[in-house]
Amino acid sequence: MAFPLLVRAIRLSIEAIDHASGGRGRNARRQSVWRFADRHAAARPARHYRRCSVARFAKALGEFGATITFVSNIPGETQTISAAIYTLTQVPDGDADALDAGHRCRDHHRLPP
Amino acid sequence: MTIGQGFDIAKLAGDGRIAVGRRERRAGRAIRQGGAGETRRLGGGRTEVRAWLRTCGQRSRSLHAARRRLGIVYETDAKVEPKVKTIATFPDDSASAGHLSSGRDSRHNEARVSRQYLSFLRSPAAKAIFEKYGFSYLDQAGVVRRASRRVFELSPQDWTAVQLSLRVAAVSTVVALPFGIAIATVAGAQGFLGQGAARRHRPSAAGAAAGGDRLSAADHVRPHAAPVGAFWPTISASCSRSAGPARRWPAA
Repeated sequence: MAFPLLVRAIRLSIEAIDHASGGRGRNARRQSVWRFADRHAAARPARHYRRCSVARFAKALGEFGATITFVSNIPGETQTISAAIYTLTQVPDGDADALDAGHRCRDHHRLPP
Repeated sequence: MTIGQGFDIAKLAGDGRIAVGRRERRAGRAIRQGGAGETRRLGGGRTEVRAWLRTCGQRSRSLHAARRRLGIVYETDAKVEPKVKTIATFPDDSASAGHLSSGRDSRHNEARVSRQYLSFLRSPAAKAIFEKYGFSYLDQAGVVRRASRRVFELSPQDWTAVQLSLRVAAVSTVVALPFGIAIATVAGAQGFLGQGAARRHRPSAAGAAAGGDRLSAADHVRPHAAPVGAFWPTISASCSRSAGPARRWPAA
């Protein structure tokens, strides 16, 4: 579900070369796709793609619809963070627990393994 | 010997001293320093003694360090220390009945250790140890227990959810990255309808340096292929500083 975010970010990164190279991208558009990929996509350092992946990773971390559709919401088996929060919100007085779950996910990197 | 109302601790001490703890001195600090609690000659009025008794729980180790024959220590410490003999116990409803509590340090570097310590305190092993040495386990202390559970506890199911989310996100990102690069490359190489108009109005230092002739970028784009693309020069002509670009595209 987060794939468009990734593609869009990468495409913007690639097309930004047009500015940096003083308009050489105009000629590049008359070239073949392979030549364009060689000159532009391959010219991007790895850090560009890493940064593009961040938005996609964040979206995938909170992915809800596809997860609960395809692998259901089995606690301890296929339940993800967002599905767990959804489950908590479905029980009476569970909103506070859901909020806590959000806080715990935020702080999970500080908890002992 | 029974401790109760009207108990004369000064008489018990005689001409010696009694080792008592001090309120503001934390147990951990006293142990680390190996120091004794406050010692004080008891001969004063009852109010003074009573004030001391309220805060008098301390470690038996500090009783040794103070070289006192008599002192007021935690019952649990007295149990594990063979040299200490219990002569009397404060009643449970007295102010001196100690309540141990563990605090959480908000500083980041100590928070991790604090959480590990707390998780151990809640474990069955710790409960067995506590009960062995005379602590009663307040399982029904609702508010405190609930608050600590909220902040610190993650059940195995919760951990599974966190790990699963992280794993799914990481794997899907790695898998999607090559496809994303490929599709973005193709899309970037092909352009899109109306791209010429969009490029023309995009700020470009290179275009400005070339004398403002930025329209050549759009020469290969069909300007009338899309309604908005065809409509755009009409709109922008009135806004643009130069009417040149609009004239290049014949009206639809």
